Order: sequence, then structure tokens, then C-alpha cells
Amino acid sequence: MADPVLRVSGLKVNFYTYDGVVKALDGVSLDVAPHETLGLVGETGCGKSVTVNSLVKLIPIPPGRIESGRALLHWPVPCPHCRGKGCGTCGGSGKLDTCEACNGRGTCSACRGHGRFRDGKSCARCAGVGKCYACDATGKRHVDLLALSPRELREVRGSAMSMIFQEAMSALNPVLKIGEQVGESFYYHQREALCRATIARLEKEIERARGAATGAVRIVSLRLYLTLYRWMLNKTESRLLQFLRKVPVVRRYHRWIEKEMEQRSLEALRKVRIPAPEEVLKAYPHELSGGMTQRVVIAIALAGNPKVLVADEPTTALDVTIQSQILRLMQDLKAELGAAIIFITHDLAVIAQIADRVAVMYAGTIAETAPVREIFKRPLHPYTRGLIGAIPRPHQDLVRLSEIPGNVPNLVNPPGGCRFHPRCKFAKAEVCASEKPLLFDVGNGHLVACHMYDQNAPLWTDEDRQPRVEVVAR
Amino acid sequence: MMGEEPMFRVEDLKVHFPILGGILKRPIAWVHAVDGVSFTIRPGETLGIVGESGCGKTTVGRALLQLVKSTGGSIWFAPPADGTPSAPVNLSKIPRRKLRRLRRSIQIIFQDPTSSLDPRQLVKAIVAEPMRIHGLTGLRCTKCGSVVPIHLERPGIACPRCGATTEAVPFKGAQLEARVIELLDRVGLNPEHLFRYPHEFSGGQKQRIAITRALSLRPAFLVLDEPTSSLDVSVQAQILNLLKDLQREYRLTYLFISHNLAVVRYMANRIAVMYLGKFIEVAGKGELFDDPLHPYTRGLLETIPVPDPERRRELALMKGEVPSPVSPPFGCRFHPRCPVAMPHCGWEGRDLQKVLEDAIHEASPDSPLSGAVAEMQADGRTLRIRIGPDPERSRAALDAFLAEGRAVGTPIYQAIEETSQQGDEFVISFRETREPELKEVKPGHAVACYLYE
Repeated sequence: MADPVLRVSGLKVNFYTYDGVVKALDGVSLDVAPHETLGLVGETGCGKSVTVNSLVKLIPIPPGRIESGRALLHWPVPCPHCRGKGCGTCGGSGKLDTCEACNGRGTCSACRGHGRFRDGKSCARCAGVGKCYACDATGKRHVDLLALSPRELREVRGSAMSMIFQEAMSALNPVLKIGEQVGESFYYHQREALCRATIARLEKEIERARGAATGAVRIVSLRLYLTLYRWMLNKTESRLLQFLRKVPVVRRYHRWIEKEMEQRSLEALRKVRIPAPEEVLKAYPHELSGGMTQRVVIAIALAGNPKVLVADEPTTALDVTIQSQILRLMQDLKAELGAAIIFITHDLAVIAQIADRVAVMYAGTIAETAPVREIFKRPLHPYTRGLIGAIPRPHQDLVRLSEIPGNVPNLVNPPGGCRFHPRCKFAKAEVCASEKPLLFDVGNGHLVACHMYDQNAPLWTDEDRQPRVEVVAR
Repeated sequence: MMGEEPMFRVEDLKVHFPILGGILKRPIAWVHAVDGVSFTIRPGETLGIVGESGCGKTTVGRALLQLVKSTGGSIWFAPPADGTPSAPVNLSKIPRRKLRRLRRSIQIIFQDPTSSLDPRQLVKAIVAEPMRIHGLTGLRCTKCGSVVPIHLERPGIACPRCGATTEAVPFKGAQLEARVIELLDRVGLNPEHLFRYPHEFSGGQKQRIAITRALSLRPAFLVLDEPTSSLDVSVQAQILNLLKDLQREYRLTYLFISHNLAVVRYMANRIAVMYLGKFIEVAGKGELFDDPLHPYTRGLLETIPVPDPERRRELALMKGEVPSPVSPPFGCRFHPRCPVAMPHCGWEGRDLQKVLEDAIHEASPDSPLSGAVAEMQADGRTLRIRIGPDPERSRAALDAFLAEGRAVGTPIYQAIEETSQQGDEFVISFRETREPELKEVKPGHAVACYLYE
């Protein structure tokens, strides 16, 4: 696998409620490769949404708290010296993409990759491994999402990582027009590009006004606007500009950038194949159907050109025919954009159709990850086997669906050891109840968190390890 | 005897909801939720109804119980008395009091168990309430005092424990509780759950409570209205298996309503596909899935995602969205979205209006079509177009547009009966068609489509 764009490791999240501490995530580790679609499946309450929401701190804190873990996002930024044009500092690429800690070497900056110092002491920063801690030995520029300040986080949200939420209707503001909501995301995530385009337009307009000799007043006001936009380009969060937007007459300067926003919103709506986008821009969310609002939400999520797009059950509330339209749209857009997608759903059928790789979650832990064909052909974890056997199939007559006995555990007092052991028919009291299983690599990019697949586990036979899904077909 | 006489015979069922408006709050329009549906349900079978949201499938289920009053048609129900069906009654005509007594044998399980259970009642009270209301009697042994369990209950049966005679007693006190425990045990809940409130349970458990409540009256017929759509797959499997087991044990008849074709395939014997208030195809489940006839059914089967990455393919698309049931399309209701529509499928003014609007929208500003239309008004089978400022040019542009469509062979243009000019209005009228009827084309396989007439 290529170097991942996003590597989550050991993510642990608790919620401190009056009923006790909900141990929502217990050491979740995930890799997302560039351009891939990772399907995150699991039942309600297994922590799928908490995982992605805690990456961009969208979980309520408090009661939530991110106890430990890291989430390294590969994020090259435009070179600050040349603003992306290409200069000596960035080697002509216009982008800064070397790890600042190790200067691109990928080795630990404290011990220079030896893992221990000359006096024989083990290096504390890299835990004796010698790899760069900040970039995970890739030498590329990474940020730890979980350690960002609120201000940096705001830059990441929407532009490096954006989200499509399940209920499109509640993701949109009911009192704002669609155009305002789509435009807004451009305003906050692509202000620089917007300013540049506006400045170019203004300059052209000034040229025109000069040629036509329509009056010096207009030229003066246009010049004034031009100054304001140049200022905005340099200081994107200027308080004065924010204030000027509220002053009558002066606030007219903002119309120029609004025009630009509208233009881009139109393009964005066209990209998600909305018919008659001009009318949709002027509509309120309630005037659109469920499928259309979901398309609008997708357009908003794509506005910042994200590297990682998180789709949190985007089709669950939709009908099958509309669901297939949205899935198809996402497949097409993925090919166009080249963003990595984390696709969250509880529907394995959708996963089978859209994902490249699958991570199965159970009660706040990753049970199994594998490429999609592999997981359906050789499901190893007893939970995955049960889950695949429980799906009713549209092209097969089944006599009986296989069941996973029992209920999802309460995460205030989760079962010790493997969290699935009370429902597992292969569980052995000796290990499963006491030791948390690690992710064992069984080849083919297939990782499974089950003691059964430990190399030296004598308690199970090869018969148990057979990837069998119990389906009784007629 | 069983299997021949249908338990339900529904004829031309119609349920229309008024849209009230104006100062007097009079109906200004009607939502045609169910618009002429006929079917039968035989004892012991499961009829599945599938369709997209808003197609009226839930309303059919509710109308069977008369939870919504039907506006037309009749629902003949043969209440089974002691295992043998008696004379059928028309549920839409009988008085309320009689209906209430009949409801004992027709029960419903709703989609959302959270809102169908009273949050302020204990589980015990929830399950016992219907038995108390209907004054259900159980059989008690005259000698040892034990109550005959539900699956053995038959009039005049001897006590299974001691062999003495039994007598009918109304459920009260300890016996009531024993029966509730017995029922809860059957659906996989424990006596410890008796004194809890609904919010203390998970979704699957709540649905089990709802099933218990419906079963407590020993019904013959259950309407299952998307009972698993709010549940997870693994819980869904548990509930579906439970429902299948219960059907066998208590000889129940089901009407299973769902939008999920895979789930319906697992549960039902026969399946009806519904679209905009009409049944468009009814067939045995094998027939329907192996040889779907209606273009809508075919489209539906192609759009569902299959849980098998080996069978991955470009998801087929069905164009557009479900039209409003306030004024459903003429002719075949599916014709605006149908990939194989023909000229006589019921094309009308608003279809052409939409096509023209799109064409004008896409036309370049200097093409003759862009200024040709000032205003359009669709009125049933006709489309009135107030043409643009240059009548000659506009008329020619429109004529050319229609001729081009006709030449390509698009059915909508071929359906045009005549075009005429009245003043500055250009009137296009379509040919008259009727709605295709649900006809049996193969034994046990009925479809409503002109392709098969």
C-alpha cells in the first residue's frame, strides 16, 4: 500500500456521563490510502461516527474526551514564500511537503535514527525505533489532527477533511437559501482564490470604466474596492473587514466577491448533476427532495477540494432508486477528484458495491480490515462471519438467516478482553475474556483482531479458522 | 379447506387524503395514497408489498385494520373461528363496535418501536393491556389450577399437566402475569424485563415487546409495517427469524410491508410491487425475482446493491424521482421514468412542458428555440404555449423541434395527436389513453403494463 494520507493509531475516546464512563473507542487504528474508498461498517453504537467525528473534534467535549491516540494527516501546504508559484525554498513545486521535524529524512531527530544515544540510553522520543515521530518515517509534511489548535483545526475542516452527513435536511440551515450555504463554504475555504478572481474582475472593470469615461466616481469606488480586496488577500481574518461588511453603503464592496461565490456555487451544483442549478441556488432546503438535498450537501463538502472525504451514512435515509443515484454520483466524483473517501454505513451491500477496503467495527474496536473482495470471500473474525450471514440476499432464496446471539454490549461496562467474546461461539475462557486481541496480519492486506489467528494459539483447530459463513440457501 | 378460501379479499381499495385549504378549510386537492388496489391473502401465507417511500404501501396496511378510513372499495375479511374461516365481512362497512371485536384477530406491528410503545407504561402493562381490553379468557385446570400454555390452547382440551378438565377464565392477576411471562419468553425476553420501561431497551428488544403485545391476543393476521427498517442487520436477522418461527407455530398470516427487496424476498411467499398507489406487478417471489416483467420492477432489481463484491457493476440508474401522488401521471403512472415507454403509455402536457423547458434551458441564446416560448401551461392532455414576440419564427422553431423528436422516434412526440394555433397560443394535444390494468399474463403472475397487453 502507498503511504497513507491518514493514519489513525490507538484512538481512545471516552464520554463522561452521569451513568458512568462510556468507553466509546478503545484503541482504533486505521490507515486510509490516497484515492481509496475505505468502508467503515458496524452496527449502531459501535463507534463508526465517533471515530471520524473525533478526528475533526466534532464530538461534544465535554462529556467526550480524547484520551489518547494520533491521527497523522499528510497535508502539504502552499509554500509561504512564493504563494504556490514555485521558488527556491520549495524547490519549484510551490508546495511545502517535507517533514519539519526530520527535514525529510524520516529518521528520529533526537537520536538520528539510531534508536539509542552514544551513552547507551534508549531514545525516548522515538521509543528506540529510530523513526521520525512527526511524519511516521515518511519524511512528508504531516499534521496530527488530534493535537491541532482550534484555529489550525478550522483550516483542516472542510479543506483537508470534509464531511457528508447522514441527514441532509438537518445538515442544511432551513432559513438560508441553498446558494448562500454553498457559497459560504467557498468563502471560508477558498477565500484566497476568490479574492484573486475578484481582483482580476475589478481590474478589468476599471479598465472598462476608464475607456468608457462613465465618471470618475465609479473609478474611485472601484479602486477603493480593489484596495479592500488586496487587503483581504493578505489578512483573511481582518476584524476591520468583518466590521465593514456590516456598515451600510460600504458593505457594497462585498457584492463583488459574492458574485464570484455564486459563480462557483453554480459550477459545484452542476458537478453533482443537479438539474436547473440556477433555480436551486435560490431555493430553500425544504423545497428540494431528499436526493437533491443530499447532492447539495455533497457539493458543499467538495467545495474545499478535500484530501479525505468522510461520508457518514449518506444514503441511509434515501430510497433505493435515489440511493443508487447518489452512490453512482460518488463513484464518478471519486474518479474526478482523486480524494480518499471514508464511507460509513451499516449496510454491507452498499459496502460491497462502493468500497475498496473494509474496516469492520465492533463495540469501539476494529475487528477486521481487508480488501473488499477478500472480506466477503474469507471473513475471518467471528463477528464479520455472523454479520455477512445475517444479510438477506436479493438474488438468493434463503431458508434461514444466521444470527449473532445476544445484544451489543453496554460500553459503560464493556466485556473485558475481546469485546465480542460473550457473543462468540469460538470464545475460550482462558484468553478471550482476559486479553485484548491485537490486529494479526494474515496476509493479503488482511488484518484481524481475534486470538484465533494468533500464530501460537493452540486452543483452536484449523476447522474453526475456516472462513465459513453460515447461509442456508435453498 | 385451508388455502382455498382467502382470509382477505380486497377489491378496488382506495384511500384518498384531502388537502384542506381556503378560508372554509375545504378539500382543494386529494392525495391519491392508494388508488384502486385489489388482492387476496390466503390463510398461512405472507404477502409482501414493496415500493419506494410515498407509494402508499403503509396506507394499504393501515386500511386493512381500518386505522385509516378507506374512501372506496371493499375489504372482505373472513375471521377464523376455531380454526375454520367463517363468512366474510366487509371491514369498511361494519359498525365500529363490531370492528373492535374483529381487531382481536388482526394486529399490526409498526415500523418504529420507540413511538409505538407508551413510554410511561411498564412492559407488563403494555403486553397485558390488549388482553384486558378484549377480556381474553384462558383455560384453567379445574384440579391443579394451572393455565394451559398458549400453543396448546384449544377449546375442551384436557389439562396437559394432570389430565383433568379445564374451564375458561378471564385473565387476571397472577394468571395474566404468567401469560405475559410466557409470551415474553417466547420472543426471547426474560421475566426480569417485566417491570421495566420501554426506554431501557434496545431497538431490537423494543420490537420484540411490540411483537409480544400483538401476539397476546392470539391474532390470525398480522400487518408487519417495515418491522426491521430501523434495526441493524444482525438484529434484523434475529427479528425476521423470530417472525418466521412465530408464523409456523401460531399459524399466522402476514402482510409484510417493506422497501427492502431482499428482506421481502426472505419473508414473503407472494410479492406485490407498488408504485404511486397502484399495484403494478404481483407474483410469487421466485417468479418476480427470476423473471420480472414490469420495467419498474426490473429497474428496482437492478438498482439494489448486492452484498457481493464479485457481482459489482455500475449501479443502474432510474431517472428522476417519484412524482407527487396529488396528481399522478396519466396512463401508466411510471411512464415519465420508464426506459421502454411507448407512445400510448399516457403522455400528457406537463411531460412535454418539462422536455421543452430543458431544451430551452440548454439551447444556445441565438438558436431560434430560445425566444420561441413566452409562457407554457399544461392542462391535462394539452399543452398551451404562448409563443414569443416573433410568431412566425417561434412557430417554425417549435414545429421543427417536434418534427425532429418525431423523426428520432422518441415516444413522447409520437404521442402527439394534433397541434393547432389559437390566437397567439400554440396548442399541442396528446392522444387519449387509459391506465393499464393489472392482468395475469402467466399463472400467478400479474402485471400492469402495456408491453404485455
